[in-house]
Amino acid sequence: MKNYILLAACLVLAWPSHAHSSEEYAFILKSRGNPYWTAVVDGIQETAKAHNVQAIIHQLENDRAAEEQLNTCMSVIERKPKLLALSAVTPAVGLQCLKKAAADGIAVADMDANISVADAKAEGIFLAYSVGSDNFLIGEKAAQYVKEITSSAKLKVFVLEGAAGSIPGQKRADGFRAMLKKLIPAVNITSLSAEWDRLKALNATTDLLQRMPDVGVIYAANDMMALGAAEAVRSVGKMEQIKVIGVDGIADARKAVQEGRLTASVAQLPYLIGKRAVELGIEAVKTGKTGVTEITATPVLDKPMLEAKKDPLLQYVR
Amino acid sequence: MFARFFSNNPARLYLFQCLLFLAVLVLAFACASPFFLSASNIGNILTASAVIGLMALGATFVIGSGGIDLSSASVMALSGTLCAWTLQKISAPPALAVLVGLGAGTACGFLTGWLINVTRAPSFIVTLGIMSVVRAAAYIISDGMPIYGLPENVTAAGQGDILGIPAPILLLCAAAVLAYVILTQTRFGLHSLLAGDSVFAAHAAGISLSRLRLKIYTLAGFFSGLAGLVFMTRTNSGDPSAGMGYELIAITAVILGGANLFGGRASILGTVLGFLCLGVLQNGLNLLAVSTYYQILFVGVVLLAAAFLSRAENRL
Repeated sequence: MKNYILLAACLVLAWPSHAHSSEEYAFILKSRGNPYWTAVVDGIQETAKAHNVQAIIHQLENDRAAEEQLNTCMSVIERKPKLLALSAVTPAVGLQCLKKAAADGIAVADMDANISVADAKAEGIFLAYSVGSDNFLIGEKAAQYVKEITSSAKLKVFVLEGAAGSIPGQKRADGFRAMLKKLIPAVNITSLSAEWDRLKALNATTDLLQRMPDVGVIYAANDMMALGAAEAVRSVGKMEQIKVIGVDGIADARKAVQEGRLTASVAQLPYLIGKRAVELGIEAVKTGKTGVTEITATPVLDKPMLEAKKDPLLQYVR
Repeated sequence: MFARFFSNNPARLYLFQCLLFLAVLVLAFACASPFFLSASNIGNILTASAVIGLMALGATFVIGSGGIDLSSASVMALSGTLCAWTLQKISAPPALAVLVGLGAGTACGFLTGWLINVTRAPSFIVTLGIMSVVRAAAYIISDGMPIYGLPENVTAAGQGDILGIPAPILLLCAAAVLAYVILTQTRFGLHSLLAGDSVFAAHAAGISLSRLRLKIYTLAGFFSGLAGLVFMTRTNSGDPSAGMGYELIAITAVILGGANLFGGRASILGTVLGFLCLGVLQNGLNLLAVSTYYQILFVGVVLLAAAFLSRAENRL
């Protein structure tokens, strides 16, 4: 019995400093432990500190944890923050959460462009803002880059998709395929899912290189898979012939680009997304303004660009 | 005095420990957060516990009988996906879609029990296989994408309330009462625990273990199917990737409630307390805005503390 009393005392004493602030800004983000979301968190925390507001950040187990997001949202609403910005796992869950928050008088916003201002409005929700990069556009940019660096009219391309059902992953792959077919009509595209995983991408690429040794370009919907694919290409000694392009612009990928293991990465500037989410949130709370849509830039990071260090967007590449 | 009160009934001791543990958590969070004990937050905790709770109720029978079910989360996902598919792709009436979803869960449970009987393989291996097969079926049906946009009268079952009480809580309560009656008041329930305690004794008592197993896993499948419908109506989508890892949380809830992982001892009241402990812990940490990484650490440490304290109390 006394053990339990001791445990209760420890638990209570563990949080003496968690006083509730009336200037709280809450952010519910996806996958913890993912470099992309870690950079978003850095952007939020540093900007919130600079503006002297309190940012409460919650991250989910993975990018498909719909019920976890709903449960987290409901408990965050209890704290009555000034703003609730959400990166929706699914539009249905996101809208349900934002609707409840808006009904409680909380300013609501979308992060990572999962719910558009117009879609929310159709549900009677007035978003303060929607900030993020356009995943379809990212795919298109990657395709345009492929067109720039290759000359073959009968190019063979391998696409590594994200986890089944992931909307950003689907958009990145769809945008890439659509634009590439427009730019190179005779292109031969083979797609497989490596579930965002480096090792699965390595294995899938190794298998594919057995079947399709003359593949010219590998496009992966995130950098982790691109790095796995690059390892497979390196192990068969085809780094010169096969171009590997990823998405996100994470630190590992940038290093690989500079070392010549990866051809390029379409960066998403998650730090900038986090930064703008706080800045737009403060403005929305102050002015009550709604309906801002901000698509963040997605520069293609290749070796010449990284070595030149001249692009101003590079300051947001984390 | 404690020692004498509990020495005659170890099950009572485990329940008391779990209740005490829940009380400790509630007390600690109530002191640390002014929002914790609000009526709406208590509603949040119970609603959030519904899916895991329903799965844990089914798992109580399986664990009590000495088995383990690793397929419950996949079955849950398949039920929700199939129900949503029936509603949206073939525009079936809601009642039929619910029957299809529940039927799928129950059929998966029946198949699991049948395969364990036929192969005579450990339930761990069979349910691991079923877990993959059923998850794949959910992906194939939905083409890997969540099925959104269900009719409002369907989502109301997960998002609406009756007399101010959220519908998932009412369903969870009804299911808990049903499970309690089955486990404590029927021959099937008693036979399940007896089989978990000693297969030989159960066999000697003339119990058909094959038939019993078939019933246990079918019942667990039914509860997973119910959980799938709650998940679907709450999130307004039939998601084939729903509840990854939920099977282990459900098993944790059952064990936290005092069940023996090797069978013979399990109680519905204990399971209810077990999943409430997990729900309170998660909600409290969210309310306190504890950083995500520390949340994982904290959940682990508190569960280890519970295990340690149980060990200490067992010396009574």
